[in-house]
Order: sequence, then structure tokens, then C-alpha cells
Amino acid sequence: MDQKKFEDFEKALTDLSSGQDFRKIVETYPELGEEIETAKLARSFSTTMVPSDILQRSRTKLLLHTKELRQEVPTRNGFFQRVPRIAYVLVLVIFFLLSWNGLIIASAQALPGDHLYPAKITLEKLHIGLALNPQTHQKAEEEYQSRRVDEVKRLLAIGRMEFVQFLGIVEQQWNDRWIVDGIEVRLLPETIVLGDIQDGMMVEVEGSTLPEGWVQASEIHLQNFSFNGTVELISESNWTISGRDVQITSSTLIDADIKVGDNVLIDVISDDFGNLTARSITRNDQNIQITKTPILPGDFQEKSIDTPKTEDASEDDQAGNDDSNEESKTPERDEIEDVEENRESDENDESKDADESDETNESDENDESKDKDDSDDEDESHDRDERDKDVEPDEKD
Amino acid sequence: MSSVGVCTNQISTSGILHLLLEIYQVKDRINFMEAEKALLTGLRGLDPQAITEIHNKYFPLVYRYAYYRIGDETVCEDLSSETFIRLLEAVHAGRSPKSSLRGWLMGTISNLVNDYYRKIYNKPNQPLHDDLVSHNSDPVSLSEEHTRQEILRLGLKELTSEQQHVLALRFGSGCSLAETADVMKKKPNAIKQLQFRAIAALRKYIEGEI
Repeated sequence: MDQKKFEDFEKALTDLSSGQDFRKIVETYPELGEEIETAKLARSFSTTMVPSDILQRSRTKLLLHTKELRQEVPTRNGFFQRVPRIAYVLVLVIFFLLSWNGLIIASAQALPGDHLYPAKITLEKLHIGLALNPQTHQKAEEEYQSRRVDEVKRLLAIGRMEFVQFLGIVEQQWNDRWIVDGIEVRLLPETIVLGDIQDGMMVEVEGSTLPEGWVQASEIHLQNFSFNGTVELISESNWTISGRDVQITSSTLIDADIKVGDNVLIDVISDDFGNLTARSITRNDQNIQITKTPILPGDFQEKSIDTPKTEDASEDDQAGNDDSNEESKTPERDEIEDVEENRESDENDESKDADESDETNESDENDESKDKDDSDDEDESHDRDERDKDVEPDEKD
Repeated sequence: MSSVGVCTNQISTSGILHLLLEIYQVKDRINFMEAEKALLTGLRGLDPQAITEIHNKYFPLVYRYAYYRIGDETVCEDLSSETFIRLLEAVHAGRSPKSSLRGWLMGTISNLVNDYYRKIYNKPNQPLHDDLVSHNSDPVSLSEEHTRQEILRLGLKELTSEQQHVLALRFGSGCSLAETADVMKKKPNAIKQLQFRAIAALRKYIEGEI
């Protein structure tokens, strides 16, 4: 019933708005007369006209505001506004991680001259820099040094010419042809050689790989080596060992209670001017201490050259050299000490010890020295001693 | 037999006409939606031409609505302008109208009018606008019709917010039943009921005053 009233009232309103006669409408819907009359009254104070000046002012205001908005820096809108900021951060982090891993994998095989090679070097430096533990630090450095050597070998294998820089141990020297870590390095008259480099010493080679299969060296720097000597002077920052001045730093590892006159094994780094900085100084007596830095095959030579004073002493040293060589191969201290004790007790069986050490020696030169008789050993050590004496003043210079 | 044939003929003719009318309405509705979509795109891009078109098309509706409820030109002008500025800022910030433009604009002007009255009533010291104050102090000098209008305007303020809104849409802006239902998001039958009750309440108020 009410619904019909609402319907009729709507029809009456439609008739009113279409301009039909009021009385006629009321006659049509007599039961709604009062409501229709009220509605007519309610319609009467509406306006159908909008003053043109009001319309114009409002439009101008709106267009001015539009201009201001156009000059504003655009803000995030639409889809981007609904996405929370954390989502952007997450996407960036995921992208960074993926690209970081991708870069590491992709750059691992890069060779000098490749686009990704600088990225590889940077990552390696970062890894070394982040290794706070000294052992990890040293391990990482050694690993990356061996990578440089591998890269040079790969470049030579594919016959590509590139500038290279690597660290390696001098294995052989024949005038202008050297073998450094298995890589043939050729020297020109203009090649700069810094330091008195001998077989077994660690050097830094700078040069170019040639398709012929060797590295043409532009510079060779003596990097580090070890030698045996007698402590002659001890001061806070400088020690003199067998006539050589050696700098001591806070990172130098020094055995306790070393006095002037002690026989020591010293591992040094050489800079381009021949200045020596000690990495470790170890007492070289019967209770051999193992240095924390790797002992190079060069130690063997230096030791055999520097120490012999008497025949017995030279024999002891020879035994010690064998030990040091064993240390570099198998750094188990107990085994070394056992061998040392056996050798001291059986001084008469030196040749037997030498035969045992032959089994473990790798370097050609060591093999050579052990294949000789005791007398030959003595002669050779004397010869080297003389050569070393000639060399020493140069190194001091 | 022939009468049955005429009857069938008449039914089919009216049915076809009704169908054609519906098709025309649907087509008209689609055209309207497409035009409004184009206007909204222009609005988002801050296109002055689209903004001017929207303003010219809808400003009279908004202004007449405000005028019906407030009756003061200056206030109505300010509130109507503010409605369009708000539309512009909302679209620019990525909050486009979810319903129709008309629905968004009429909803906003309704809120602005409500806010305006709220502010006035919250500040008793501020005098109400002349049109809102009863002139019954000198009823003799006014015609019966004028008196009724004044009473009616006062009575309008006594209605509920929804009742005021529906009357302002129907009588002030001149919206049709369907348009009013669209703006108020109600079914047409609910609008019919709402407007009838609003008028009935207004009549009761006038009778009480007189």
C-alpha cells in the first residue's frame, strides 16, 4: 500500500518537473495533495541558473591550481602508491644479491683483458680485506697469488698477449731465460731486475704473455726470501743479522729470548730498493721453532751457505737443511724433531739420513746436493759460501 | 479471430518498441561511460581542456545543490570551487573516483555543506546567515507564500542528513530518480521511500509552525 503511495508520489514529482498543471496533478493523485503541495513549495527556492561570473571565477581558480600541480615534481601514483615501500626495499635487496652472486660466478673465469677481470680483482681484494683472521688473510692471499699464475698459464696456452703481474718462486735461471713457478720468463737487456735474485726466491714478475709461450718480463722484483744468519745487533726497529740490516715491524713474529750471537732463520720481504723487512725470526738451534710463514726452497740454499764454519757444523747444518725442507713439505713439528734427534745421535750415519731425505725432496737442486758425497757437499757449501760473501755487500748497497 | 490477431499485433509492436528503448538506453549509457572515462584520463594528465569540460558540465549541479541547502551565493561559490579542487588533487594523487564523476562530486559537496553547518553550530557567536534566520519577527509584512518558504527552509534543517541530501539532489540539482539512486548508492525504490518521508516530515514541520 505504502509502496503504491511512493510510486504515485514519484510520478507526481515527475509531472511537476515536466511543468504540468499543479491542480491537474493533485486531481490525479488526490490522496497525496498535501505532499504534492509541500513538494512544490520545496522546489520553489531552488535555482536553475548559475551566475556566469561565479562559473568563470571557479574555472579560473581550478585552472590555476592545475598549473601549480603541473609544475610540481610528480609523486608516486597509481599502482606504485599502493605498493608498500618495504616491497621496493626487498626487490632491491634480492636484485643486489642475485647480481652479486652472478658477478662472482661470471667473473671467476675471467682472464686479464676481459671485461669482468677488474670485477674479479675487486672481489678478491674485498675478500682479502674482509679476512680479519691473520691465517685466513694469508690463506686468501696465497690462493689469489696462485690464481694469477694459473691465469698466466691459461693465457700462454691460448696464445693471447696481455699484460700480466704474478708472484712466483724462481726455479731456474739461464742467463735471459728463467723459470718462475713453471712459467718461462724471458729477460731483455732493458728488463728491470730489482734485488739479487737467486733460485728459490719469491719474485714478482711484470710483463706480457706472448703467443710463443713465454712471458716477456719488463720488471722482476725480489719479493721475499729466507736465510740463516747470526744475530749481530738488536734494536727496537732494526736488527743486524749476518751483516744485513733488517727492519722489524709490529707484525714481525719473533721467537722469545733471542740474543746477540744466536743463529736464526729469518724470513724477509724485500722492497724495490733492497730494504728488508722481517716477517719472522726463528731461533735456529736444536729446538727448531716452526715459523708461521711458509719457508721457501730458497731457505735451504741460504741456510747451507751462511752457517757452515767447521766441518761438523756444516754436517749439522746439512741435516738441519734437510729438516727445513721437510718442514716445508710436511709441517708436523714432532716428526721434524724426531728426525733431528735421530740425526744428532747418529752423526756417523749422515749418508743414510741424506738418502732418506732424498725420498722427500722435490727441487732439482736439492736432489742434486743429496746425490753427491759428503765431501762434495762440503765443497759445494764452501763454493756457495764464497759466492754469498761476494753477494752480501751488493745487497747491503 | 481478427481481434486476437490485432491484439497479438499490438503486443508485439509494444514489445519491440520497449526493446528498442532499452537498447537505446544501454547504448546511451555506454556512450556516457566512455565519455566520462576519456574525461578522467584527461583529468589525470592535468589536461586543461578536459578539466574545463568537467567543470562546465558539473559545476551547475554542484552549485545548485549547495545553493538549495545554504542559500548564500558567496558560501556556495567557495564550497563548489573547493569541490573541484579536491577532485583535481585526488585524481592527481592517484585516487580516481570509484563510482561516477557525478557521484563523487555530489558526495563531496554534501560533506562540505555538512562541515559548513557543523562549524557554524560549533561557534554560537558566529551569526547564522540571513537566509537561515527566521524572519517571523514581522510576519504581517510577508506574504503567506514567502512565510511558508522561510518556514520550509528552517524545516529543511530539521530533517535528517539523508533526507536533506535527497531533496537537494532532486529539487536543487534536478537529478532524476536514477541519478539520485546512483549518487546515493541506493536502489530507486529506497529513494522513492526516502523522498516521500522527507516531504512528509517537512509538511509536519510547516503545520506545526503555522
